[in-house]
Amino acid sequence: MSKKSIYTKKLGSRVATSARPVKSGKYHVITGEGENWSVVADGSTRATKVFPTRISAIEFAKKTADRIEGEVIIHKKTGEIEERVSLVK
Amino acid sequence: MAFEQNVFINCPFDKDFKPLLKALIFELIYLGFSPKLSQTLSSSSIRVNQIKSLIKNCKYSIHDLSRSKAMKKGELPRFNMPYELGLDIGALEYGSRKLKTKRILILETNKYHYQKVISDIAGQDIENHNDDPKTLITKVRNWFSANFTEETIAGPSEIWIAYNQFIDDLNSSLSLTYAEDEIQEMPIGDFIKFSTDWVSQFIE
Repeated sequence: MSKKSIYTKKLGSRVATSARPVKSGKYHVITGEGENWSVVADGSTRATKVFPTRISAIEFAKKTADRIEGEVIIHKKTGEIEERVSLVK
Repeated sequence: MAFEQNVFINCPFDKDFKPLLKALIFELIYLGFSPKLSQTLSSSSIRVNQIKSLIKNCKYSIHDLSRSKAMKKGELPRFNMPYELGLDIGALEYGSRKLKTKRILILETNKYHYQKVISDIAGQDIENHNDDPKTLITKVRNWFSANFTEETIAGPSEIWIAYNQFIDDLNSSLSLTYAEDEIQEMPIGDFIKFSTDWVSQFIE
């Protein structure tokens, strides 16, 4: 792990501000209970909808985000980002 | 921060373990605790003395023994983690009245692996996480819940959902300034600060 510190109060504040989205139009696809996958609206602590497969969760998230020209964030099982899909036309 | 909120984390710091460590740190902050790791301390004094000080100042400890075995052929198992666990159990057993209130959770990858290598810890709180961050969050949350029977604490799903959003916000916010590998490899002390800042706004 690098010893190079990147934290500054300014960056910390930027990260903190992003915790309070104002109509971000973002939908997260994350692992859910058991083998299920969940779609979660940004800023929410509950799943919008739960799916038995990752593909069906991604399809739903894209369809929902498409209506508002939003964005879908597909997460790996570790929580890290696998892909960002912008639906801005 | 006070003894009651401090959580000593004794775990590996290698690249493979990092997704688990990051999830654990975030979870502790989300639940209102203060994670304490030897890696965030200054390197100027003797490491074991710093660890003894952490053990003395933390009511809770989480020891991950999942790397106390050879991970690859020809690699030696690491014994720092079981050694530090021993120090911690010693503090609980022989320490002051305050130290006798300590709570210790031991984590491993596969259930009952400890029975093959360190069976004397039987009877302690031992959970396995299958090297899966979501499972780790659930097991740690449930352990805290069992230790706070009169309080309702956030559920594992809520913590997991928040963690995924934090990771996205962290990467999005820093990507204007730093490359992806620089964000991934930031010192763990920085990760604690960013998590603290984010959680303070998300939970408010």
